[in-house]
Amino acid sequence: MNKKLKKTGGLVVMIMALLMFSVPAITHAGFGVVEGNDQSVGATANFSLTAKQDFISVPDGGVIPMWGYSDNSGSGRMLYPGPTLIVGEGQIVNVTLTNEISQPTSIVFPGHVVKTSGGTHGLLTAEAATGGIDTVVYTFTATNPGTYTYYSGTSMDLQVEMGLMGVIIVRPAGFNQTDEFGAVTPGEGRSAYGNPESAYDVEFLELFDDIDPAIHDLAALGQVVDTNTNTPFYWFFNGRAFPDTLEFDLGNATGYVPWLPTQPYDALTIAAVGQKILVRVAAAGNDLTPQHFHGNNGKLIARDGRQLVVTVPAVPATNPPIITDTLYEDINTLVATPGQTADMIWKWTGQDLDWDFYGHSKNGAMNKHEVLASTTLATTINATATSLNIALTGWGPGPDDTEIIADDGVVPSTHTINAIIYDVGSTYPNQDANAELVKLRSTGSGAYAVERGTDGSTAKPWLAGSKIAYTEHGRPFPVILPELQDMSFGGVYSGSPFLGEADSLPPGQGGLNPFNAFAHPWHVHHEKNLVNNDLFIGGQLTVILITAPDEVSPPLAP
Amino acid sequence: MIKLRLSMVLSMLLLAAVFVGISTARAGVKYQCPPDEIANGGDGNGIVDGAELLAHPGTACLHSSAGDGFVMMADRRPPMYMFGYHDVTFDQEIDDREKALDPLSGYDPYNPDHIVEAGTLSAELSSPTIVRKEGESLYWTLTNVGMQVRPDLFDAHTIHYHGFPHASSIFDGVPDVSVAINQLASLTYYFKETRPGTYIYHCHVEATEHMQMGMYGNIWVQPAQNLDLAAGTGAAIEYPSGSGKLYEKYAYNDGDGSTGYDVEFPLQLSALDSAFHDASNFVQPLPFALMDDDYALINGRGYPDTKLNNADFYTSAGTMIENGEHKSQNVPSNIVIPHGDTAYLHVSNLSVIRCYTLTSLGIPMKVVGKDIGELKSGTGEKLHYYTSTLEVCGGETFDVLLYTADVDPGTYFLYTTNLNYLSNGMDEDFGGMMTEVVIN
Repeated sequence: MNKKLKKTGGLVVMIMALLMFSVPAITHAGFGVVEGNDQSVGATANFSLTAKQDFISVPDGGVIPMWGYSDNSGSGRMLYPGPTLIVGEGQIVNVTLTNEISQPTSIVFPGHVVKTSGGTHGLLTAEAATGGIDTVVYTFTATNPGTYTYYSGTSMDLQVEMGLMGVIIVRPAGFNQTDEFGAVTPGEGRSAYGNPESAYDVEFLELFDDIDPAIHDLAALGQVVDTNTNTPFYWFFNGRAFPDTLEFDLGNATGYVPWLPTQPYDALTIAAVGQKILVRVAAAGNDLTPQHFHGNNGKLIARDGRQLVVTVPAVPATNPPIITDTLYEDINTLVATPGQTADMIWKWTGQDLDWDFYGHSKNGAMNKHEVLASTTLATTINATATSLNIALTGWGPGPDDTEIIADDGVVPSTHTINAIIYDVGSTYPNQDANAELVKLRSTGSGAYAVERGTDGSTAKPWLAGSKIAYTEHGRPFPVILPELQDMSFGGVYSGSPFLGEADSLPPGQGGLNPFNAFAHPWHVHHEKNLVNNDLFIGGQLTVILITAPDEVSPPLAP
Repeated sequence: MIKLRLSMVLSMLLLAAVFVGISTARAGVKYQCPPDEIANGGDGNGIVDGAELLAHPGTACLHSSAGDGFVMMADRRPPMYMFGYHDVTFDQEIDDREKALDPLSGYDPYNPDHIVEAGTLSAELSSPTIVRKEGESLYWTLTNVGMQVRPDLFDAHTIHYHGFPHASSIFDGVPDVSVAINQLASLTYYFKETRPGTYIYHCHVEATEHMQMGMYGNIWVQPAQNLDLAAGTGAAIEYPSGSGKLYEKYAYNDGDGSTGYDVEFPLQLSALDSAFHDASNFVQPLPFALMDDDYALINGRGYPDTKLNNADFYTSAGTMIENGEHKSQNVPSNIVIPHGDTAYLHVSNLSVIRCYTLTSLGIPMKVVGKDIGELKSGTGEKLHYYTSTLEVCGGETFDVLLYTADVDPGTYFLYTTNLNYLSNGMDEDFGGMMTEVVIN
């Protein structure tokens, strides 16, 4: 595809090519692909859903009767949320609905133009009568890639509350799971909308919902329910309440665990430093749910299956339109509105933390992805020089083509950054015993004021052509942590403040972090939703584990 | 001879035991400010200044206590029990008392006894506003001084710097995935502030409870574009171009002055559930599932307390014996703008239950940023917009400008259009989440 971004003068440079560099993933199969019923290959996708009554479990030991969709595979039991239906752009999708709950039901598909066959027409769409025999087939063409929902179109105040809802993902044309977008074949690979502006490495789903158990008990008993009294006491994330949101079967690479047979999906998020995470957000339930992402801001790239971009028609017009600008929102709190969907791309690189978050010393082992950008000195400098000239456009790929590029490829010019000057003969800064740690501050037009010989290194002369890397490597941990007995530890804490490391913990505390990852909660910021019926902690909370990418440059031999 | 009743003897013994216990257990209280510490050649006054600042440019230290206290609601119901932070980098009362005994002494920011005394029952609502500059480094010590009114509680505390970019786990303040600090001990966080904007800080220990109880405040990071004549950085920019109006302070590094302002104010929306706070005060089970806010606030006060400056507020509300007469509500909401000036409102919502829609009656609001991000396109086109209503959900922050040049001097109103929150407690006409904007 032809994509061009208009370049405006000044601070922001969108470097398309950099998006093609891959960051080696922690290869944990099953992480980073949304689980569901994937029929995205072929001309048609056919799903068979049965509305059924069953139960879900909540972490306070409770059991709640539900109405939900089964896709008649596996155990055949009802699933909450309904199975995630994964289809391909342009496919004809047929969803056959059979009804085993005690009242008529139907399905609506927001964002799609649907034709029906069978059943009896209700107010919104064709309905299937109760009894398990009547069927309705809903047919639509998945014209646009994106994140959508499907839910009951009958007595919606009750039936959607009872759990009759789910998510549809439409994959763009040219999608394949294995390739970085455009890295193998132009226009093909992992992206949400079939363009580099929506390319990603790992993908997760967040579906919010809440439940009033009193309504569920009455409905299951066939009683009349006044849904005006709806007062939630449980809050859900992909059909589970914390801590069930973190249950994941590592061995079989699935969120399905036998003790939650009707709640197949987890909400655990795992990604490596520098990986782009696509978060597909959808909300059912009663209230606006502001989802707060600890760890960094992300970019809201689409709403309701439409990418937030400015386009001009391509020539010829049958080609996809050309993106001339993006209207992405740079946010850390995304308000998920019931009935709406949103897509967000999120990344963590540890840029400008001002300490080495791997806990390395200057010549110790170095994770190769610690280098955010690098270049070479244009001129020779002596040991006392206080300014450098490095062409801003010279900040580019690091020593090899697998480094992380900070945020949008921008080296900050408004505050001091940490860098290392090292010998041209060393591939990585940690391999030069005489590497010098410096602090740089842009003074404009490629000139930098430089503080020499910082953090225990020695200022020395450097020849033109010496390398300089923008990195936090070797910067000391800035504070003394309290004694162990003065701290309380979270279950996921590894015992060490450093990424990839573990350390001593008091008995019974911490350690539930198999990758010694940096863990951050992603949770709804209306904290009343973080309880399970009067018990804190619970509800709409999950965790992202940020793991260290694999490649390491070994320590310098003594 | 004084006849001592058995009960008096027992309480004296208990008091003695408690004091002894506290002294030895205060070993964990420790303020860390490396450039200022005497061992590192600093002068030990608790802040980075003078020669220390020259050696460590852009470095600062802060010391907050976390504990409990009381605040006054605008309907003057009995004092509301709450949790919050307090600045214990310095304490005037202790300083005066020490100097009265020895003119060469004073408040010692590294002395655990001074720190704990300064922080006890000093919680504030909203917690103190912290103003920082882009590129600065901050050593922020948090000392958990314990809960005086609830000695049965052993809650830890944290500081979550909400919105901090590329945050590490250890300094993000979420106890479930890292560490929290126990009572009578200190944890020092380190932040290098690289993104200008409006942030929030709040406790993340038992977040539903501690945030409902009021542990939150503002952090603002000012952009490098702000004119700093002493440092020789930043710029004065005319906006709009050709108008003759020059700005020296901006919300973001906007490049064109379009986020420029003259005066700034916090607008932190939140609300309290009086049943929850009273249950906490009187050692009752806490109603999480039935949590329902009935006192809606701006910057920790309800209208008409929001329109009062601090001096007038304390005259009206009085200070409470319950919290040792600490002044606990120090973030005023009376917005006073000289006519022609531009005001910058740092809007945030710390409600644990719902969103609020804010409206400005008579003065259009220009929204220039959300969640520490200036509203602009991928190519840098400004996406600032004018509105008269702004919906703010929990955890969101917005940067809003009010231009007054085309507005007549007078008194205007900022309030929530969720009109049922315009009351303090049960029945009132005009209270709660409302304040006044005076253009003079």
